[in-house]
Amino acid sequence: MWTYVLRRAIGSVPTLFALSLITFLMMRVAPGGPFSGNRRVSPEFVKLVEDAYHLNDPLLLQFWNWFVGVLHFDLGPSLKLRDYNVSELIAIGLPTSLEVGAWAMLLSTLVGLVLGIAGALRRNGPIDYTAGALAMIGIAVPIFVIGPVLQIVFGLELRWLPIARWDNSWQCRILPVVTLALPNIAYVSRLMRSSMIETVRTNYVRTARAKGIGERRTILKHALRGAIMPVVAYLGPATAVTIAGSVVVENVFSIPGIGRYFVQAVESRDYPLIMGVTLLYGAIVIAANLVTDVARGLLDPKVSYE
Amino acid sequence: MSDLTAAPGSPVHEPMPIGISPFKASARRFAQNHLAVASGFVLALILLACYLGPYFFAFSAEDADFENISAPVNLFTLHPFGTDDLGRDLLLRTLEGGQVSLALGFFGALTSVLISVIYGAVAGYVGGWLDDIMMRVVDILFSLPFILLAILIKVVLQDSGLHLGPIPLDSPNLSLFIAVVFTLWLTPAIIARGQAVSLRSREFIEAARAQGMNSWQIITQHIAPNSVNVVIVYSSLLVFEAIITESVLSYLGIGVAPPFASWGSLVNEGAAKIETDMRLLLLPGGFLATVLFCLNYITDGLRDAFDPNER
Repeated sequence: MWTYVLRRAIGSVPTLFALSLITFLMMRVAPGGPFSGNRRVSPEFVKLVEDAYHLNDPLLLQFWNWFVGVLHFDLGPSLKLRDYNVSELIAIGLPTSLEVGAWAMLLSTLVGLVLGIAGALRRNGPIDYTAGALAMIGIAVPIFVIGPVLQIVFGLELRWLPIARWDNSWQCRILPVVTLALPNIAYVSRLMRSSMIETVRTNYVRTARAKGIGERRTILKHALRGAIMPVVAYLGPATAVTIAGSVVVENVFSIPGIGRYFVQAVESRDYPLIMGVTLLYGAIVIAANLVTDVARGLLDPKVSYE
Repeated sequence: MSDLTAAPGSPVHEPMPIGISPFKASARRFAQNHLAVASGFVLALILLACYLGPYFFAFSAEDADFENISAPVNLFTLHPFGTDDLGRDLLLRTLEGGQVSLALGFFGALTSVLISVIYGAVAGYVGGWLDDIMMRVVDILFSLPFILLAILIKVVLQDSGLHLGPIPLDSPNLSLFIAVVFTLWLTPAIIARGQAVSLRSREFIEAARAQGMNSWQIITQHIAPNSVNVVIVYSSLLVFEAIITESVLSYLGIGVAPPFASWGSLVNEGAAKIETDMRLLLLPGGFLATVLFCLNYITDGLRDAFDPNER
């Protein structure tokens, strides 16, 4: 098991390296740099500033220097937000992004599981139809429509929750988390429902019932463990979905996380910041996939890693 | 005599004609899925409305009607769904925004199917180190959230000044299209490659090789056409994703460039004004959601009817 984790972790290094190289080259083939937008300064001055940041070195040398920096946990300075380096910016934005993302993942997994199980056990009942309708909304209505609609309903009309504010109160976290969770609730509940329907028909569940251990224990102890596997397998890609959603949700609700940095950074050519955020997101997705695979190995005796 | 073969009490099935082609059988299964068929009709209706509807207006979407600024919804006036705060007709703007969103969705999906099938066919048929490298590239691109990739490509390409012959790759809308396609082709490429790998060892490929066809001919004439049907099942899902990706970019303000509008950019404009006028958000958002609902049901229907693994 541990050798497998180690092998996968080592295998992710070349992937991250290639990811960085692709991002780096893609950014740099575009003309225009972080300092070319200033019309008032002379080209000579721009060149001096660029020299100070080593932007006129050969490209591969620049990449190599950046990569060596990363190995020393130094992501370089931000070119646009002076006085900050990329690590500091990430340190400022990441806790907020992680907080919203983690709550959204937790909420969507729990609600999705409950809705899926309830729908599967009472097929075509009221809960099943409600869950189905909720799943359709989560899949088909983009979060940048859901978000503002929730703002209208709960912020403007009912005045229960703040529309867009970010402080220490729990109220301002509800709408962003729910918005971000909805697509995942949809996918998880559908996966869980179809998987549960299949599992309760299997022989081992029938055996458990025949032993007379009661319906509750049959479902929660026996059927759930088998039926949850597709959902566990989905959690890796779900992290990618949540990150992509957070870029939008942070925009809708004016949340100071890293998703908002990214769009600004790409537009203003803040090279080190783009590289840092890309690397971070790539690492999170790879780590989530690894955790997912390990969890599958622990839960499912049929999956073995050798 | 046929009465004797049917078990008593069993429901009477319509006799299945003998020798029906797999495609016809699938099409028939699809036609029996009422939700999918109804979605198809609604989608066709919206398509017609978006592309023909604007001809029934005496003015264009950019024309400002200064006497009717922020006109309310009144179905029997010049502006059935009212006007925005600049006096532009809301329905007309939404319909024209739909043209951009739908065109990008459908052509984006088509292009990515073509690219992915060729890519997958080459990787799967040639195999070996080329296959390893090509699939490794897909893996690497997969480890980035799609939206980051799309933002990066869109912005970088738009400012690049690149031209492919007479085609300006750096125009805002073409770079948006390329960014959308680039995030779409990965999944179908993996599916197409799987199909190509299983086709590679079939007899008719061996026969083609024995007749002296070179690898490129085999890929374009045998492997790719036989991989398309596997990917095409997912085509409506690709349209769905293309429209979402485009509208997210437009929502973030880096999508279509004015004077063009898409549903995403209209929702963006509307979201900024929800406190004064919710219609600006709800009309384009409603159209967008309806189209996505329809595409989702159609995808389910196609998958149930055509995908051999789902039966």
